[in-house]
Amino acid sequence: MISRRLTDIIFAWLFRAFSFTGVAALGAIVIFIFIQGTQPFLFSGGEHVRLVVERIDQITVNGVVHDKPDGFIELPWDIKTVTLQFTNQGEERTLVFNLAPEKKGKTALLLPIESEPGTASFPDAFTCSVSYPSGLPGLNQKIHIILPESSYSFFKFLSGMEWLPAYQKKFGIFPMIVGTIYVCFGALLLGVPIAILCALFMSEFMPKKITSIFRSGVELLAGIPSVVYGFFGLMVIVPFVKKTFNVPSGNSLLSATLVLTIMILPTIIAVSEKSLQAVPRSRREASLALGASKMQTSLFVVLPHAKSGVLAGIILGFSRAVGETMAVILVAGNSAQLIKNPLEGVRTLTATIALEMGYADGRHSQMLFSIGIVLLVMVLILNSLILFIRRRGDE
Amino acid sequence: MNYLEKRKISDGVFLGLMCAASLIVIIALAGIIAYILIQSAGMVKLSTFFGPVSESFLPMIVSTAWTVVVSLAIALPVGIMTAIYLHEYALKSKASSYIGLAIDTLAGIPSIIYGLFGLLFFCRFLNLGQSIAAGGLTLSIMILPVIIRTTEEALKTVPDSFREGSLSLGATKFQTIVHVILPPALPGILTAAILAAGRVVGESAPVLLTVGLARNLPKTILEPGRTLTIHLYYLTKEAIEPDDFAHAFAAAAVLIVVVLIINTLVKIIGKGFSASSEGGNED
Repeated sequence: MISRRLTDIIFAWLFRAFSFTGVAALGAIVIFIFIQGTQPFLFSGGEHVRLVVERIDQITVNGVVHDKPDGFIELPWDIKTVTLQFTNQGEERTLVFNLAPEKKGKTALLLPIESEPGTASFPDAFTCSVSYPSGLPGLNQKIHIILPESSYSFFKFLSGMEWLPAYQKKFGIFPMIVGTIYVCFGALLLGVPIAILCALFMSEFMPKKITSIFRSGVELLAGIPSVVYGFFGLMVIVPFVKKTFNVPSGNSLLSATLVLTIMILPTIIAVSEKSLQAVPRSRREASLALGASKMQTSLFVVLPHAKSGVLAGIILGFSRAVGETMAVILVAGNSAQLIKNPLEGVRTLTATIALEMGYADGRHSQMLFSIGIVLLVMVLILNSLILFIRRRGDE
Repeated sequence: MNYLEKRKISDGVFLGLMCAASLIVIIALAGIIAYILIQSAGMVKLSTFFGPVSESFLPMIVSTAWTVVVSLAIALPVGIMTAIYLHEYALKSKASSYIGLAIDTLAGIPSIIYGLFGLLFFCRFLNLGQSIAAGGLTLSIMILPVIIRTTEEALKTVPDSFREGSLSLGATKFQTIVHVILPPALPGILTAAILAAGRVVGESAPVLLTVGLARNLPKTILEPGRTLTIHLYYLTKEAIEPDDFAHAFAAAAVLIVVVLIINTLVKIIGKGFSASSEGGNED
């Protein structure tokens, strides 16, 4: 008897404990992505000026001798002058460069660098490479000076026009935000009228048996994986756009919009149809009794009565479109530019994350998480909008 | 033209528009499925599935299956327990409304965000690397809302008289749940599992970030793999040889067939389920 009570109590607690997994997971997702994604805006990339040398056996840095240096030689960030001494082609060489430290983690290289007979180049925004000839091609001795990256301005991140993560280290996502908005609004523009008309037809005009078959079809459409939609789009819609408009590449905003339209149809139809079905019979009967036709009843009585549900469906479709990744990558062309006409390639926020996460490192990788924050905030706003509308609809 | 005639015309126009809209939906659905199945019919050979590892789908099918197993093994128990707590212990309480809010929010988060989280937490923080385990764990969070909500629906169909009958006979709450409430709700829970498995099979963005692209036959779940969806994505994006397109069509066809099977299974279970619960109500 006691063991029975005990099991009962233990399991009650177990159920309660496990039920908070969802809350914990949501919290963890938000916290982890925010911590990682805010790094570039809060902290600088490093607190050291770093040197990397190639094919130099012994180098003296400000009087300190480094034998067979391997990896980074780190110097404090506020250093002003660096003197390097090493042997090149049997001769002693000296390379001196000056830095202008501003504030913690922010410093600049003063140009020009006296590096004869070596040549200085600037492969990316925070790096200077000096190459000394060794007589053998491809075996030049090299010194790379890597400056710390200062924290990135969040405003520049949101409003920047250029996304050049590799060399220039420019992380402007404005074209992608615009791209995402174009693609999603385009899909809504095409999808919403079709979905609402279809949902009205289903709930008001179709015989019940056909409605249930149609509903299964819509469910099926919702279940098709997004990558299959993308594949279909690439095989059918992209060539269609290319041929119809006679453009060099069919990978464009228009193709992405068409694919997304098909993808959000089932969401909007399912939610709208459900709320149309829920309109009480008495409303329809009252309208019909007043002499309105069936079409007038469905357009002017049933649809307005279900408007909160239909609106929730539309926003849900929008939020699905914002988060859609794989289908868009395959058909959108993915060029991070502000576009002038819908036949140009476009890149969305989600596409950037999926395309570049594989090889991104350091700040670039963190910036992809920052894009994740932007997405997360957009979707959370849309979700709370749906909740708000539903609540108000219930009252 | 009088009012009635005008109305007839405008009603007709709207009816025509509705028919056209519905037709577009039907064409989109039938078009996608027919296009992929017909196109792949000429290209899929038996060797695409059962040939040597380097050419066949075997590694992808194994990776996909493992991902489904791992994610369901974690999400099913947690999801069912959550649903039981929400519906049997904390119905209409404050805690349940907060948990419900969290679950609905989880359901609305785009899959790529799950991918980012999985990469950060499971791959890097827990040091699992890109592996089937990391992917399965990531997807288990993603399918949690589906499992919880579907199981809750199943629990709702169990009439209160069952609970009251069992409790009045002296059974504890836990005994009631295990012996009285869960058996009739089992088909609904099965539906939840099937729907969740379908989500996992069809998911691509988080899988790309957490499971990777490695085309090997995974021996343990700690190895990276390549699921069917990622295979299709990779082939479509990087297709070089004409053979790649045949493979891509085959992969797409397999995915479509999986979706069809899942939908049919859910329908069959749903039918049997509603028939049995109606029988229960008659007693």
